[in-house]
Amino acid sequence: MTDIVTLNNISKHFGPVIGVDNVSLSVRSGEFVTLLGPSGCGKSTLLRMIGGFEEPTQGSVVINGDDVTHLPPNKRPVNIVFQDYALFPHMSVGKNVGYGLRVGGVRRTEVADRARAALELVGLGDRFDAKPHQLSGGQRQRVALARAIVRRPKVLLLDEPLSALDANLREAMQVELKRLQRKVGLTFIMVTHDQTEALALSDRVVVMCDGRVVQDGTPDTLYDRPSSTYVAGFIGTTNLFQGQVHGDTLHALGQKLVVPEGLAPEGRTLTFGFRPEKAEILTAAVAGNGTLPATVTDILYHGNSARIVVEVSGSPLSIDRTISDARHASGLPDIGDQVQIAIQPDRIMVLADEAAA
Amino acid sequence: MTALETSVPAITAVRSTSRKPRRWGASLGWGLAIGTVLAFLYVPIAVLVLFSFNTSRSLSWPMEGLTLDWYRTLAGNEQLIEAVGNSFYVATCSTILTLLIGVPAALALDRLSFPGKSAFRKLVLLPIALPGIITGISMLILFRMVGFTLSLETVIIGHATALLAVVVTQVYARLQRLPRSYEEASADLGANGLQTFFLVTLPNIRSSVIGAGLLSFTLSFDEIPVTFFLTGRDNTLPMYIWSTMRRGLTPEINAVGALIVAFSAVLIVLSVILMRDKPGAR
Amino acid sequence: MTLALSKRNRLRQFLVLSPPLLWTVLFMFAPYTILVVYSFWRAQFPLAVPDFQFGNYIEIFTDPQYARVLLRTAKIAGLVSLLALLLAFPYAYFLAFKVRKPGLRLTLYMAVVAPLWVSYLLRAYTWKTILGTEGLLNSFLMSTGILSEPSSVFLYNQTAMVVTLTYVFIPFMVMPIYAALEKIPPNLIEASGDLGEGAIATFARITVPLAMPGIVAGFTMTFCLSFGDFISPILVGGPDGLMIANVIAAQFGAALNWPLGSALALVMLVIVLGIITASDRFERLGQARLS
Ligand SMILES: Nc1ncnc2c1ncn2[C@@H]1O[C@H](COP(=O)(O)OP(=O)(O)OP(=O)(O)O)[C@@H](O)[C@H]1O
Ligand SMILES: [Mg+2]
Repeated sequence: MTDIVTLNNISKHFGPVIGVDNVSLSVRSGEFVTLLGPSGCGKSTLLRMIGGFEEPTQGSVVINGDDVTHLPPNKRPVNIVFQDYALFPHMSVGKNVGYGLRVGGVRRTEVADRARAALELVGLGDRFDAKPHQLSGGQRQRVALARAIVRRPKVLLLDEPLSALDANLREAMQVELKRLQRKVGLTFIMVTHDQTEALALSDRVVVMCDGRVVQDGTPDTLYDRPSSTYVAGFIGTTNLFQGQVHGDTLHALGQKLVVPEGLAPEGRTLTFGFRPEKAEILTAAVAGNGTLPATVTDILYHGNSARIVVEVSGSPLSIDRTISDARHASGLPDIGDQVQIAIQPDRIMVLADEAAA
Repeated sequence: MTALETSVPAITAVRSTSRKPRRWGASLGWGLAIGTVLAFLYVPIAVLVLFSFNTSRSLSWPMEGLTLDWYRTLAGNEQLIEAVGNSFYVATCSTILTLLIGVPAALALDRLSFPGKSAFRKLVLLPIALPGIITGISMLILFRMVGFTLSLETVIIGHATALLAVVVTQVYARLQRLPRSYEEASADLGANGLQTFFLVTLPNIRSSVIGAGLLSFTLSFDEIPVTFFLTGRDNTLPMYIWSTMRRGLTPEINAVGALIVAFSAVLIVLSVILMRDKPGAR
Repeated sequence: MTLALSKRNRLRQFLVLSPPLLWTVLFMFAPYTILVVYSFWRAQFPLAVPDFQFGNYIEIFTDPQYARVLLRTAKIAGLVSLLALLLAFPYAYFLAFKVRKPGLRLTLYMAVVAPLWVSYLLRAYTWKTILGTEGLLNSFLMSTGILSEPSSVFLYNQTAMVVTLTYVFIPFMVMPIYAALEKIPPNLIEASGDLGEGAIATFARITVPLAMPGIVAGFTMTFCLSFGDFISPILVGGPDGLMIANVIAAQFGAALNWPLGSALALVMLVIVLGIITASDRFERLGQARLS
């Protein structure tokens, strides 16, 4: 597969504020890439530089083999879905969707046909003559999508497309987006600050922090092998603790844990972590090598799972447990119980850290 | 300097003020205060209109009888009719001109950044608070220096300049409320600058442009201080009325006044109807 | 929007910007500059000769008649603003806090703004017909027997000026005050009531300070407009009510001393700009304090 978008060392400065700091990124054709990060980390700015709404202070933007760094938006083969959708309020839904074709000089009849087809693709074929303000939030979202794909761009950019929707609708639209992407085979670059959305939809997630890319990988990689506490903390929940590795033993939390040999450099104090579902709670006092004695301090019930918060030598840890049966038959411990915790040795993560640096 | 934004009364929907038992004294006080202001505003206008129907030449109470004679005199007054024509010519041209300059100026102030922008803004908005006489005499000296003869055309230039601020403030205020993303979306969908302006920006600021145009038209139609210095041989309507007034008061002036009041009322209604934003337009 | 600053965009910027820029330079910047230059010229038949001398300004600042006119103009403009404020504030307050129906509120608001659309000249003129010796007020008072013969005290004096100018410019006072009052959340006032403050305390501590930007804006606008008026003085002012704009106009008319007129106009310009700047400062100060 070929690279459709390449960003070479681009930066964007707004006076003294650094919006994007020396980012390089390649996106392959047909990929669904998500830019993920907290508010103000430069996701939108990066996306807007691809779309042509901001000119990079440094670096270049290459789309489909052409250097478009200094081209205005109307000269780029990409389209964007704005966070507020930016549907033109004075035009009907059909006119909105056909707008890109109309200004591109497509014949009138063909404009209407293709607009209708695009609307049908998003399931709104019957709202051709409605005005945007007569639609629900989710419907507007679909119109914005239809409008952006009707010109068959090489790349579709989406700036937090689902953030204006309520939780239920958002999940439905996630499915819809993924379906649409498969169907039209477009390259999607989406901005979000919602990690579940990023993990659910993307082929690749680019995690940003303070204008820089801190990790770039598949959702699995990001989840299982986060490169830093920042990424680990941003994606899912992680239990973090300090420790030292000696051979196959990890000295941490006042205990000795068995870990695969060569997990981390000998004898250095590092940050380690594990995901809440990668540990087990053993209620029977089967103290063994590698288990941690703990006290249950809290139980959060989530329906099909429960998060059990325990305290191990003064540090709180969270452990998730799926519940297959009725609540009482599940054998959840009670608050105050003394338990043992077993962490799956190969699920312990080493976080190359700012703390160490 | 937004005081001239007459077109967009900020009337919010329902404000919840807690209901308190009414006190008679308070209600009476408020009624009196509001009534005084309204009477102060409208009794003189009513007087103006009423006396245009007075049979007697003098404008004193009580009225002697009702007649339409003064309107008939008007219809036969060629100077007056010519002045009305001149005023229409001046107001139309200066409104078009001031819109052609003012809308791009508002766009530039809102959407562009360029060196000298704040000086440009100050200069454009100056006439809104500046006495018209200053605009009038400064342009008079300019025209005199470059050797223009004074005519209705110099009046048009003067009016367009003086009214620029009105157009710019109104259109600028509307542009500020217009999300940038509309224009960005338009560019993103392949439209060039002109297409974006005519297909997206203009339809969305339409109400403010119409409002500013109507207001400019009335203000120009009514303008004296600038016209006073810049007109040549030809009279506009207010200049004509002004000159007759100085000769003496007649119900004929009242008749012209009544017609102007009626005309203004039509324009007000028109502007309220035209400027009501379409539903959905933010 | 910092659109990609390609050459193409610069060209577009240039196209948008050049008509208004050209116009403002030609018809605003140039005339104002020439006005300044002209104020240093010397009056000489047929009109004026280029020079650089302060004679015009010296005359303005030494001849007491100019100071008198300026003071009178300021006094009248101040009284007009004050009277307009006294009438406009209760009106705006009533609109903002006492009227519950939006329709009625809009109507009452438009009732104040609408006269602006009616010819300024005629609105001033109608006061002349009301206040004149044979005017409505006199004949009315005579017909009711209060006066036995027409009085000339109503017209051609400063009171007539103040009344007429207030009438003409009051909308400019109502609009900004209403805009300021309208922004005050009613619950702020209710909250103050809940804290046990009386109505007057609430008014003085909450309403008036929050309305202050509007009051200042209205006062500035009304003052500046009255200050530069030269129609009303001729219609209802009489010799005692002549204002600075009339003196300037006379220099460009009968007196035919354009340089002196220019200098006077500049003095007026400086005063007006000074007031606007001061009120802008005040407004910005207020905003800084509120945020
Ligand atoms: N036009 C601008 N002028 C000045 N600073 C800007 C501008 N646009 C963005 N910034 C700054 O650049 C930084 C990155 O902004 P950006 O909008 O890209 O963040 P984001 O990651 O999209 O955040 P959010 O999730 O809140 O949308 C921020 O510090 C922001 O304040
Ligand atoms: Mg953003």
